[in-house]
Amino acid sequence: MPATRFNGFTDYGVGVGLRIPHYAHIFSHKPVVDWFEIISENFMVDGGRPLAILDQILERYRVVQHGVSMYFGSAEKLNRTHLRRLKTLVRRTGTPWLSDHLCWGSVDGSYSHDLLPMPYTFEAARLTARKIREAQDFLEVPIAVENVSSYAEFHVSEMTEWEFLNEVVERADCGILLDVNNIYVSSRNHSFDPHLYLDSVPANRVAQIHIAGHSTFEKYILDTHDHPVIDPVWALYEKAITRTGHTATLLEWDQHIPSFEEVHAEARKAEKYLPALVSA
Amino acid sequence: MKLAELQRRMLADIMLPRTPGTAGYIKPNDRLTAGERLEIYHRQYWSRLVDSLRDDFPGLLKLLGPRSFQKLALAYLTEYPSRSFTLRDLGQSLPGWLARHPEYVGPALDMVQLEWAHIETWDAAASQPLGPEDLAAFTPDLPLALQPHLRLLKLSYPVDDVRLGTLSARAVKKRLPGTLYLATHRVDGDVFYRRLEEGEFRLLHRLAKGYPLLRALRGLHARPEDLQRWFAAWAELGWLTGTSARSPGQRKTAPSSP
Repeated sequence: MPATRFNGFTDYGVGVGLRIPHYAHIFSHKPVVDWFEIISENFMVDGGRPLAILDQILERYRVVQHGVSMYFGSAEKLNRTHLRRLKTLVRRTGTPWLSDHLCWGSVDGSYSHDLLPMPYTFEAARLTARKIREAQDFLEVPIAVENVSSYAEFHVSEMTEWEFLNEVVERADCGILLDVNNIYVSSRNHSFDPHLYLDSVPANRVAQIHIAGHSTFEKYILDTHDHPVIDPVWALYEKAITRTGHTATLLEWDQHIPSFEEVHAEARKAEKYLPALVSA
Repeated sequence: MKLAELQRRMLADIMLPRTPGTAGYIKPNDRLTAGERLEIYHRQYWSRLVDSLRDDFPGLLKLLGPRSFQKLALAYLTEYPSRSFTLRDLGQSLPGWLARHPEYVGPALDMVQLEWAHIETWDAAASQPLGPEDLAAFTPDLPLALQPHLRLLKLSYPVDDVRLGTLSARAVKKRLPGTLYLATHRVDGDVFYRRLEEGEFRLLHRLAKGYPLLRALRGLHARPEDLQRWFAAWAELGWLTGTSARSPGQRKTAPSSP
């Protein structure tokens, strides 16, 4: 959405994920990039080169934080030590909003380091929403939750994924990081209509959109972030933008990472969908 | 099934070192059984964590070879699943685990100690080093703090040379154990290793424990010219700081065994 409370009243355009193989290019060529998304956990350290690099990036670019380990959907309490370290980073970057995933991944302090799928139950929605609210209050920055790619569904689920997403974000009163590639991947893995999913998302809460590539196997699709975005995902992106209006968009490319120019060019394909809406 | 119970069962299945069998809580679809769907997550878990250890301990991989490394990683991670939100901490219990497994003592244990120290040095905090004026005003009854990124190691094999590529894994395994003292430290964001003399190591170790200089020197029998040389080198490397850089919530910086 254009500037709203869910994106910290900003109007960011197309960004790129900040990745180590691109550091040299970024510092030597200083490319024009609207914003960079960083993985928060990579910079939640006490010192050294990671923070020096981040500070250099912050001198020139706008940065938005994206996390992979808050695990709002885990049945255990939020990790206060984690939150304190995250808040230190939030103050350093000045991120206008902060995102993490609508998933779980830890039990009794043991971590999977994966984005595990939620059972879509009212119990899970209540707990997840409560934790998002707690984190949002503590961090003092708007939180957007991202729909994940999934490969399994649970017998105990009481609703669809998009109904669960709505239930959580309404209860938490938070934003959404809408990953259209994840919708596509999950729709193929679970045989649902991705357009129905998109139509059900509360557009006014979408703070950011993710696009990415994936890998197709014989019996399922894996969210690998190692390919260009395929046409059906661009089609979903176009539909999403039509509903949400101009929205901060980011391309994820995490494995077999090509040159910065290639990643940036792939990301900027999104711009052809954005301006039309700005003038509309 | 309640959320907590479902998550506990699924994570336990994912963390099994062997392929999990049935998964009654997962719905099959027209292409995959419940077990096959769970197996996607199981495979991703082990691949991600073993890859992470491989990235963090390249010297150990070199010493053991891929097959033994994989076996070690599976055994270690089964006993010590990740207890941290960041994969950076995944190997923190590996030195202790290795020490309890006699088949890995020797260069492998030394290498793991070095590589864990390397990780800690890489992203530890840094303090403002003491300048010449600070050192001139220093009195020996005051505690001298060391850079939080400095780690001190007492080793039996020159595994630093293996890590740096100047000694082969095969050659180090043929060496008889001796004693060598090493510091890992950081300059301009890069991690370096520096061999230490025994007295230098012992003095640094005591300073790292917070001893005032006079107490740290007690019983050390260091020659004045050695002390002068050591302090000059430490000052040049920026290892001496006036106060502890530790802040609330920051990881404790500790030396290794004396």
